[in-house]
Amino acid sequence: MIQPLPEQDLIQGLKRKSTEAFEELVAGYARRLYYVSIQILRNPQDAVQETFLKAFQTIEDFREESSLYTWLYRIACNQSLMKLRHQSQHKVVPIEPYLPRFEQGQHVDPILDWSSAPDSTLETQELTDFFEKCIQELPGDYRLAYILKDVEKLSEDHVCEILGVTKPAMKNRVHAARLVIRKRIEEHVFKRNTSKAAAGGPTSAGAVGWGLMS
Amino acid sequence: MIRSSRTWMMKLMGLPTCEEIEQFAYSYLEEELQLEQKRKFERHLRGCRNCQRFIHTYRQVARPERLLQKIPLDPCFESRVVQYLRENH
Ligand SMILES: [Zn+2]
Repeated sequence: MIQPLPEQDLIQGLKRKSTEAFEELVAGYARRLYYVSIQILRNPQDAVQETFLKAFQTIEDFREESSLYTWLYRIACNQSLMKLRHQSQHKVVPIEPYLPRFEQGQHVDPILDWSSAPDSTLETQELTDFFEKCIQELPGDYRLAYILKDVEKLSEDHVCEILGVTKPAMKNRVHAARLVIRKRIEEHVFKRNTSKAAAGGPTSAGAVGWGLMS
Repeated sequence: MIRSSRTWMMKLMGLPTCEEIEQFAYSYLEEELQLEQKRKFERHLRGCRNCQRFIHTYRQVARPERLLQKIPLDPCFESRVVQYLRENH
């Protein structure tokens, strides 16, 4: 195993356009960037390639005010979002209809616990697909915040740095994204179980009890 | 009316309302609540099925490992990226 270069040396190598430095950059970051981009795009390979190309072309502009990692993340997120916007079938779901509603401090709508809802491999796959769809249909700012914080598990500080927002703003976005996804899955599982019950099939009724309004 | 009396009772006991449970859900999950706040938060949960269900599912979304699988990546991905860079710069 060759020891990776210290970040400072790597940056200097990149600025000198050294091929080794670029190969090391790709070896160190391609996978991580791929997993970030795949949450935004279905097929992120082009976006990742273009991220590196852009990094290669603009490395002189990198002023080292953030880490290399943060800089690359930002490019990858932008490249992916740009591609996504060009996909004509791309749909964005508004946030507001999915936020919980309260009346005098209490839930207006009963809450469904779908946490153990998938009761077969097929349903698990179906729920995974729906989960990914929910992420992709979040408005861009919310989607990125959620992906970086909850999927990529980056620290709050790091997410703020990449998004260029304050901590309260970042938390608000992550929280809202979680609320929207939670609610959409709830509706999805309820709809699925209702149609299964109508068809006389087995349902995950045991797993999905409605909250008793108190 | 029954609903509001429930909120009233929570308030009387110095506990958060369901709406406040939602507002503090992020801080609760990130372990940012002070001990006393956390204790009150959990006392509300113990007495409220709706909020139990809410937190349970909210946590699933915040920790999506179970539901999101990482798609295996082509082992040659890095070399294809390097190839692409060679051809395009
Ligand atoms: Zn409650």
